[in-house]
Amino acid sequence: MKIIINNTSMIPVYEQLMDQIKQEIIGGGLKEGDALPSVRNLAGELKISALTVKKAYDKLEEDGFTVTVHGKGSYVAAPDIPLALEARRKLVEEEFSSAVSKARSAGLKDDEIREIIEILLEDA
Amino acid sequence: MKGLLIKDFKILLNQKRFLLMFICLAVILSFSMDSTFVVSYISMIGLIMMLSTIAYDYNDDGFSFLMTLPIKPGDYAVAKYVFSIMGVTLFWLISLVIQFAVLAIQKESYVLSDTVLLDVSMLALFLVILSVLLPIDIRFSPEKVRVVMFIIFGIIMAGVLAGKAVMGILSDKFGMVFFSRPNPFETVSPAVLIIGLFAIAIIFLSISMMYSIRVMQKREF
Amino acid sequence: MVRLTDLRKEYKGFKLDITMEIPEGRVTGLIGRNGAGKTTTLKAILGLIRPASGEIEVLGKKPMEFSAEDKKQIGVALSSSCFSKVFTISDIIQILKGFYDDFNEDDFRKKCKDQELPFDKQIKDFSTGMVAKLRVLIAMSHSAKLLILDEPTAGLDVIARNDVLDLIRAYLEEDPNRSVIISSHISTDLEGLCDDIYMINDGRIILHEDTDALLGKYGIVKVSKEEYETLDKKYIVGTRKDNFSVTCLTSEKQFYAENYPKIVVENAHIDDIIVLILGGDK
Repeated sequence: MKIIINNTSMIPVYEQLMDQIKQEIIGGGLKEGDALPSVRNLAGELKISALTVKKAYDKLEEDGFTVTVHGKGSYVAAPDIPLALEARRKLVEEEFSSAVSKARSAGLKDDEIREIIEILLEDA
Repeated sequence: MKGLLIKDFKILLNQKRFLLMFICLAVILSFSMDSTFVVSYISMIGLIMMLSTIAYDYNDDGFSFLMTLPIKPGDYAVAKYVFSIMGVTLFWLISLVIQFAVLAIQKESYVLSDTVLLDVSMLALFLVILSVLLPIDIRFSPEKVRVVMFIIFGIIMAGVLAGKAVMGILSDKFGMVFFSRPNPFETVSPAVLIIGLFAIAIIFLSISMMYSIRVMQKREF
Repeated sequence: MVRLTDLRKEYKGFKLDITMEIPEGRVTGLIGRNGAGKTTTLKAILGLIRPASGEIEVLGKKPMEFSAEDKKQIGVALSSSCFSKVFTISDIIQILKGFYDDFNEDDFRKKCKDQELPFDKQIKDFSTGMVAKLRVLIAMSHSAKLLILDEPTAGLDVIARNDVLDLIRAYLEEDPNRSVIISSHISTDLEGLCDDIYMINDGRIILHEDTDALLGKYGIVKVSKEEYETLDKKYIVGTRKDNFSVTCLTSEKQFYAENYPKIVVENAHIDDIIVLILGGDK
């Protein structure tokens, strides 16, 4: 598992953490039943507060990505395929949208953007 | 409690070179001095060493940390008394060994019972001095106790000298004869005398220790 | 685990008035300038000083009434006070064995070795960093539930500070129920370690927040004087005006980032927060 926390980002740390763990789960890096690192272990490794990690873990559980066994830790839940796909789709949309806004600020017209995408799709 | 005693013992060991030097000096001096000198000298060094462990506790605000260790403030006082009484007694025992060794080497004749009686009363006296100095050390500071110690030994010395001088003048001018009456040491049996002296020492030490415990309990660190 | 209610203590020219609550398993930081009252607060928690008024409860008891057994559950590193400097680590090991039945000798020796502390050298010949590490290791030597660390990183260089913080992190990982109260005047030390932070100034708590909220929600808003007039000041908690601009501290940076896309909104560090709360215009 790879986690990178950006302390200068405006996105709260717990959200960054949550998103990255979600990506790991969706991408298959973490499989059902895999244990997440303990709260204090991850906090120590990333040099962030344990409460921040706990908040991220709680949200992950709320969203159905993990289950917490009291006194034992958090485990990756049986993936809810439609939910996971939906999340993945959302992620892709986000990346597209940032690419589009970059393109626009570079002065590209909508037609030109479409063209680029067409070319990319043909190449692949 | 055990930890405190180990700590004090370690402080003592830390001064072992110092100690050895003083004891060597005492051995050398005892060949030319009265045989009871070595007993009072080494016992006094013992007393000073015991008191000095408190100075180590005071240094660098050490009391604050000591009181975070698993002891109650009163335990500190109790441990200090236990350690000091054991320490003074140990030094006194060492001094006895040296005293009799020197007497044996010098092949001097001496009355065993008188010497022992004097030695034992010396121990009782040092325990009484300890009972006065320890609370001062615990209550105030090691600097204060140095002053008080000088005053006490000064008074004892001055008293002895003044007494001798007064007696000298009185016997010279008025022909008064001292010690013509039976010496009190001879009328009272030695056993009673020793018990009496130690009873006084124990009373002094108990009052002193209770006071020190109170001081520690009231204190902020 | 620790509760202070209206704890008051007065010294010449200094008044302390503190209320705080620290649940079990929490890492709590006290931050403030030298002389702000951090050490006094910690000493009250340890029962070293008697409060003038107010209630203190630590591990379910009044600290002044702690028994020796109660004290074994607490590990302490004070900033200016430790064992006598004439001792060596070997001496200290024997002394600690005399104090704590569950003194973990092998672990203590291993950690001292890992930190390259010499066993037979007197502490007075140690460097500042070595003394600091030893103090923290002594506090951790008997599996205490609660660690109280007063300025464990003061006077250390960046590498030594990180070593000390890593020691604390490792101790926390061993048992998730362990709690730590740590004071510092260096905020970055606390940012990456503490769950929540109390800022103390002049004997009072001026701010208490989860670190997460401090770093995630607090922010710096920079605007011109004209913009400042029209700004919604609902979440502004401190401002500083200078010749060219107004710098504001907000407790909801998202609000300003979303509603005022033209103004500059930055992340705030604890230092910025302190400066703007203390040094800002009233």
